[in-house]
Amino acid sequence: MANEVTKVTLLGNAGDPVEYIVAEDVAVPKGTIMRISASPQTAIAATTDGQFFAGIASVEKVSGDGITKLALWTHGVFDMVSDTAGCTLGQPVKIDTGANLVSTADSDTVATAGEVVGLSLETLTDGQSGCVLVNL
Amino acid sequence: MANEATNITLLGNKGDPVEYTIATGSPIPKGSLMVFDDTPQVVKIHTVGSQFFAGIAAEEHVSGTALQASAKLACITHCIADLTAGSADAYVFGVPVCTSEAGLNTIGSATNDSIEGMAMVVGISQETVAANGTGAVKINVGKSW
Repeated sequence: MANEVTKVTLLGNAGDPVEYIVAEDVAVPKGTIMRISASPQTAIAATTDGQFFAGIASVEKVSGDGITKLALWTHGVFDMVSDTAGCTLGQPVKIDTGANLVSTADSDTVATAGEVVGLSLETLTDGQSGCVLVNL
Repeated sequence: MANEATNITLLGNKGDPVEYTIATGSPIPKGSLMVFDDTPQVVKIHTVGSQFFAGIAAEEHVSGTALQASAKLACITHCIADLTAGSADAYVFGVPVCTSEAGLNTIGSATNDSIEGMAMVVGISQETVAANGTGAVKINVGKSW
């Protein structure tokens, strides 16, 4: 993939990892922004605007490794890459279209709070990376 | 200053402190409500309403000593603390509160605008509080309300 998230500071209890079900035959790089994809508690890599944020892959998962569970960080400060829409200091950000990209959330996104990734700690333009406070 | 947060009960991992950048030379009392001031990650003491909340100053920043050279300050982001309502603010228990127009470290009921601009929400009130009164607020910065 590309633009994987970089850990800056884990908050809570070591980033408050939550274990999700993942497909055994899918590769997930460490730092991938994951979305809830099915019930119960199943996650895959986020790809586009409007998806519900689940957390950030805390370890790499190799395709075909027999593993069907993956721990996702849900609490911490992480370095993320902005999409073309950019991010604004102090405002919530959402998943945007593309691999591991985020941008400023809109009113609908915030009302549907599951789409919110976190709180932007920096103002970012297209392609820039900066810190986001994640607290699911 | 005035109206700093008191009776702070740390939640999460010791209050989940986040380190922010501050202006050197400006005194910051422990317990000050801190808001975002500039990018990247620069915070200051709350002065008026409609500001994006960053956390509570975990320690005092002293001005006029060798310590003033420090440009970093840890802010508590997860706790229960006693906060003061603004002079024209009153709210009931269970509602989101935000920084108040009354200024310096005071809070009031959050509006739809401050809730949608989520970071303006300081926390959820645990008590019904009259104007200028003090009551407990549960704070969890960045939480998807």
